[in-house]
Amino acid sequence: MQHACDNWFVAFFEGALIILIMVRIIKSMRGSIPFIRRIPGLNAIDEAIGRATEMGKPILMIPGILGLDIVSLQALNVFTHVTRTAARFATPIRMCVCDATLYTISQEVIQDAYQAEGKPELYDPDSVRFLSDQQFAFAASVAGLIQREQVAATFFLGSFFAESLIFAEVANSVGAIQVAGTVMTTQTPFFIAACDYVIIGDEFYAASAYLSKEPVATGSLVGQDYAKLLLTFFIVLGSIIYTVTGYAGGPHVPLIHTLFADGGWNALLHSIRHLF
Amino acid sequence: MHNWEIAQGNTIWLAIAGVLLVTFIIIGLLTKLPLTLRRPLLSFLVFVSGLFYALEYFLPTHPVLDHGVMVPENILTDLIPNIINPLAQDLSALLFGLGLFSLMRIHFNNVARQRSGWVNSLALLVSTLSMMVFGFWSRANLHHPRWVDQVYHHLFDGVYQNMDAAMFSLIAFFILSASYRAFRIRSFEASILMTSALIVLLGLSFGGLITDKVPDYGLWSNFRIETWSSWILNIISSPGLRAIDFGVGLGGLAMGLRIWLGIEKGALFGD
Repeated sequence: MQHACDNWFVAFFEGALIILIMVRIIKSMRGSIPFIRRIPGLNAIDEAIGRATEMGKPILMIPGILGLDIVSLQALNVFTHVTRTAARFATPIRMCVCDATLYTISQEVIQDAYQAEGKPELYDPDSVRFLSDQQFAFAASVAGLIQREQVAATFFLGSFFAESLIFAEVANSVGAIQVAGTVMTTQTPFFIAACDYVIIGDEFYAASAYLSKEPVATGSLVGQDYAKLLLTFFIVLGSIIYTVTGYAGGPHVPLIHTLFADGGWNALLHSIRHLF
Repeated sequence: MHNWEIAQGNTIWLAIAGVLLVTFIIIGLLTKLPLTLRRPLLSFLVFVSGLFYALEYFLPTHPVLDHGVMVPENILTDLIPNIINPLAQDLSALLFGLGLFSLMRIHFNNVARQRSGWVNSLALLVSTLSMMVFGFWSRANLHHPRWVDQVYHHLFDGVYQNMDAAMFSLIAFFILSASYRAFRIRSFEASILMTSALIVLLGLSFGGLITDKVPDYGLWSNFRIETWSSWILNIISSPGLRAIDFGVGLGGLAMGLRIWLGIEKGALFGD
């Protein structure tokens, strides 16, 4: 288990990132709403729902194959938007989940989305389905569902592994328009190869801010950009330090040794005392 | 390190009954709460849970002997494997029952109403029940006939594992069809993708034979296909992936912070 005192530099750095994000959230809550650039994958959501509505076929949503975590909660945020739009046009939806915890929460979220649109009668409890908690049994079930129901649009958002390509290729074979987004960098290439629109990397977390334009979410998004700038600064600084000093074998520079000091809080204090 | 003893004999049934009773009372009370009170209560619980992990991470540690290995711990570390993880497992098990109930209900209705493809639903019901019966019989009851183990072995290792492997092997064919579509040269970007993929594929397979005569030292080594392949992987691909990972990590941090502080809006958190 990791602790802050394993590496004090990381703990301070995390603190700095949190402060940057919080400052931007507070500024945004006070009315300074930032601009968010166009994200094609998220613009395609309405297009995909529209197509499913025209064809009178269902929309399929999968919030990854892991359990309840930040990633699946973010996927549920996007699926709430999808469900509300689908509810307006009475387009049927199917949501398949691979985790029992997520299943109960998904049911609640989808039911709330129909109620929020004033159409609770359209909610079908069987539209949210727990298929299996085993990876390939789930993949087989989803592939079967796509084939049987001939879904018109698919949304794969969340944590995916080897089954990602099975979903995307089967959906492609029935001609479904596909929007995918995952935080798993190993699966992003598969989605790019097989899907129509892909949300890459942190665009996945930008989704709720982009769709809702809600101040907290948009402020947080800008805070993340500032945090990235800080991260970039330290990457460049680290590269320069490493190049100049050849750290771990180079000349003795106390300040740099303090920066890279191993050990807990005591080691940090010792290094600072050593500096003066 | 303190480990909880598993209760034996009748005590375990009493413990299970007690836990179920308390769980249903809590769930009942929660469902009776009005929505205006339920959300602040959940936000408070989320904050306390998050605070626990934050404190566990930031508080100073001291080395403790655990299973013969010195590990850094503080006053909260011990609670994670002994209380929090078992609680999470119990909750997952309870919710798994709900998931299983939903699955069985959908397929039972398919069979009862003889909807299209009801035979598949029947196969699912029979296979699920068979695995449950023989699984419990084989694992939970020590005094069972030998044939029960054999049936369980045939069902799990003979049928389930092979079908799982068959699904996995399908990916190879899907990779072929997906890469065919992705690599069709339709644009400048697709051409770059195609060329890079070809170089990496050659570099990792038999491409070395093409540039076999080129010396693998000095300036000439830059003209070997393995060098190009590893350059694309290490200089172009890896930094790109790491940059995406940084963005994803920051996104997770920001969202975690919003949820922890109860300022997140949207699904589950209210508009």
